[in-house]
Amino acid sequence: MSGLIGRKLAEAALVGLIVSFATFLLVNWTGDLAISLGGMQASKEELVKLRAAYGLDRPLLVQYVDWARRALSGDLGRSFFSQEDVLPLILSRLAVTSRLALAALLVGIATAAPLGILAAIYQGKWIDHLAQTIAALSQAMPSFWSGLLLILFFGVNLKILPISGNDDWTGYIMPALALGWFVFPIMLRLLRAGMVEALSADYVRTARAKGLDPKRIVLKHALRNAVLPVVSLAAVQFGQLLGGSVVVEAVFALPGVGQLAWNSIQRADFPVVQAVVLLVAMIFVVVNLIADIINGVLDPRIRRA
Amino acid sequence: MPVLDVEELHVRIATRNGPLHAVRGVSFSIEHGETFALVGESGCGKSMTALSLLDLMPQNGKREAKRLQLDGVEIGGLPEPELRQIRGDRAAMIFQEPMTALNPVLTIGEQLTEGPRLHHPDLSKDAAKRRAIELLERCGISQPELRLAQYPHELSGGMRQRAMIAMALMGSPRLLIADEPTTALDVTVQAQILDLLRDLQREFDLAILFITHDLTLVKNFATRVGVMYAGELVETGLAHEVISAPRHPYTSRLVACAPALDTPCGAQLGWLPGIPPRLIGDLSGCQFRFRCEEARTDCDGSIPWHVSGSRGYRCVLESNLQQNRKTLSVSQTITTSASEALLELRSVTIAYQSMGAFLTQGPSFVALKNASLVLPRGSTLGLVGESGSGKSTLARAVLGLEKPVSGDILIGGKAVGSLDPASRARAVQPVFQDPNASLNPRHTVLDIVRAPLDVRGEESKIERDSRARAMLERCGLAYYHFNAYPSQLSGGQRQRVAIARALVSGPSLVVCDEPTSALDVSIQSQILNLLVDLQREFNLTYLFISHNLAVVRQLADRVAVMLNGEIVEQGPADDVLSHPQHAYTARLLGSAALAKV
Repeated sequence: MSGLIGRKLAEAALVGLIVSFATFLLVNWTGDLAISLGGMQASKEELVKLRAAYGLDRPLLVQYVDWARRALSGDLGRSFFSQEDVLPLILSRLAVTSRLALAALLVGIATAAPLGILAAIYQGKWIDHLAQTIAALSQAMPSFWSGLLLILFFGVNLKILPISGNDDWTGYIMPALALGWFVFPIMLRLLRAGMVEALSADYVRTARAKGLDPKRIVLKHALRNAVLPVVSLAAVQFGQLLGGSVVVEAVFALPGVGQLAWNSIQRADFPVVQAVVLLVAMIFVVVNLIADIINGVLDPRIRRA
Repeated sequence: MPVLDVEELHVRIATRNGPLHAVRGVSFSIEHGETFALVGESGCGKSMTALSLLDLMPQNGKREAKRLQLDGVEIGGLPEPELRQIRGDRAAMIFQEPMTALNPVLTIGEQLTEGPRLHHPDLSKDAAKRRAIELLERCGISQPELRLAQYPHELSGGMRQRAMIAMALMGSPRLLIADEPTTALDVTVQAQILDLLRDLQREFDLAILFITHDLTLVKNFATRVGVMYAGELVETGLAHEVISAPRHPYTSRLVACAPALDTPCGAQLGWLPGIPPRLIGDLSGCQFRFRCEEARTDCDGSIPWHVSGSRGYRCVLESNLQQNRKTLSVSQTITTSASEALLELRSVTIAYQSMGAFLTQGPSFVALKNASLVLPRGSTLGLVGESGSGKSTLARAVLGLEKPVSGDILIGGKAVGSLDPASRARAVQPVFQDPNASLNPRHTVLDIVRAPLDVRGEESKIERDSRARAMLERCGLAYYHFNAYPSQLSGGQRQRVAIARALVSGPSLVVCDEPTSALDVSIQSQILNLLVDLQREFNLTYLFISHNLAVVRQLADRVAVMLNGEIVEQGPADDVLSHPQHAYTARLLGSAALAKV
């Protein structure tokens, strides 16, 4: 197990290196950082001064190594735009988005798990059809649309939930439902398929031949096998929610990391873009590591590899 | 009082096309300490009979019986919760594939103890564990305490089956239902498991219901046997009597199909054409009449059950059928004159580099060590050995799919490695074990067989089509199969397609990797006969890999025995199989024979 964790951490470092370097190159190739610092009307002399002041006149590789060295010691630089330190700026935004992503994931799992298990047990019966219909519906409905519907119903008509902002936890309910609604169908399908396969597996026949009761057969023997791919999927989904929640953040006016990234890209605010990409990539790797560890606990065959 | 008493057992399975009558009025009983075997081809209803005894059929299955008694107690009408008390406790099952039959994510200990602890709530965890250790040890598993914490994938195939048997004994079963328990195992392991079952039967006074398609096993392991066809018992009696003098035509064909260790090389096996009927709709009359050479007009009426002593059979023919095994005269065996060598291996070594951490090289694994052999044109080399002995690696190397670390592989005097893919494909072609997995499910039969010609692209489409059709017909497929997909064919038909695909480009060497081990014995004999015919017709050379010594004996003129990546013995088939020089060969033969004695 410790070998697995060590290997994954090394992988994380490698991913961080590649991702940050790629972002670095992209940002430098797509615009002149000195212009974004000084503004469109800056004179040639001013630009030269700015380049010298920010070290932009050095070779790209030197600039990158310099940035990477400081990033390693926790210094991600300052925003060109607001002059704030990048790290606290992003962390506060990341907290909002992480909470949202986690809540959405829980909503997705909490709805997909019971429905997926029932659909597999009663394969081809009405509950199976119902689950699949709901899944198709939720897949066909974009999250900004379901978000707007939620706002109309709970916020405008019933007036029981805030329609925007994150003053307290109630502000997360609707965005989490809107995003969870989006996570639900794929989780449901994967779990249902896994359960159908597990329930027809030889070891379930063995469990029946041993005289075990249906509850034990489903929850202990089948589910533990069926849940393995779902755990991996949840990790991937979490990463996608981190980067892809920008639309829902816009609908509910949540000050999340998606919003920040969008604004910073438009302003060519290089240090912020660079740091956002790096941190999201790191979180992605760490979440996948957690998923691998959970799978390692659940599945002895992975543990040894 | 018998342990198990079954009368008029019926199983019906609801399908889209109507009810499938999988088991039709089966009656038998098993006494203490007795082994009753049910035999027949796949789909004959033997496994369904076994599963239905404890009501373990698929969800859409329904069981009915006039009498179904376990230890004198009627269990036919018991509700599910009461049946659960019996399952695993007074009647236990073991299954064919111990890898898939054990749950991969639970420890052996958990899987052994959970059943008894559920059946007997007063049984403490420690007591259950002690019993598990005791039984694992009794079943021949070393370090039983350690095994409790291990998972199925950490045990070998034989050990898994031993653990499975221990698990079945955790209750106090009177009846053990064994569904093909040794089919997935190597022949040496098979013999050990059968020995173990025999010992345990004596020790625990078990009644065993033994389900198998292997008649050799029946003869040696079972007291009595029931032969099933199309969901019915067609013949019952003492095992050795039924097999040495079958009365029902189906039994006699089945016996004739099974190659024995003493079948001479190149002899034709018995021939059982056709496949069993689907058990939907009208099932009156003898269902075997469609495949029976002795069928008469009254075969479609009601069929009497003849009884004499302990024997019984269901057939209109009352005369004692003699075993009409068709063994062709030895003159028909292939004569291998001293022709030139087609395949030659010169001290070939193949090793796999395992991957270490961070793209470094881990330790290397030698799969094939210094293998040398010579195979003359038109002859057959049987390559035998247990799983993991390097047989398949050798085959892959001959096909040019593995690069030797050292040594040369020559086909027709040219190194395989130096041939371009097109000429290599013309020189050597494979036939694999599982045609279900090796044929592309999205291509039609004709497309599959024509593909090698398409790649070559030398002829017009019409010519290619007609050559593919001719080869398919030669391999025993009809025109209406040509546009079918592999999934629509039976296992035997799929293997015919695989053979046609291999032969259509006119190779001189065919590598057959366990081509019949996924098939029923009657289908196996059809395929083996086809291979023998084709060899004569096209002067083919076979490298024939099998773990079944009887099959090898029937087909091969030369035999090479492999152990741990080395060829430990090779020579003419008669010499090697009758007078083995290497201890391992003797052991292999001993195990195969043990299953016979």
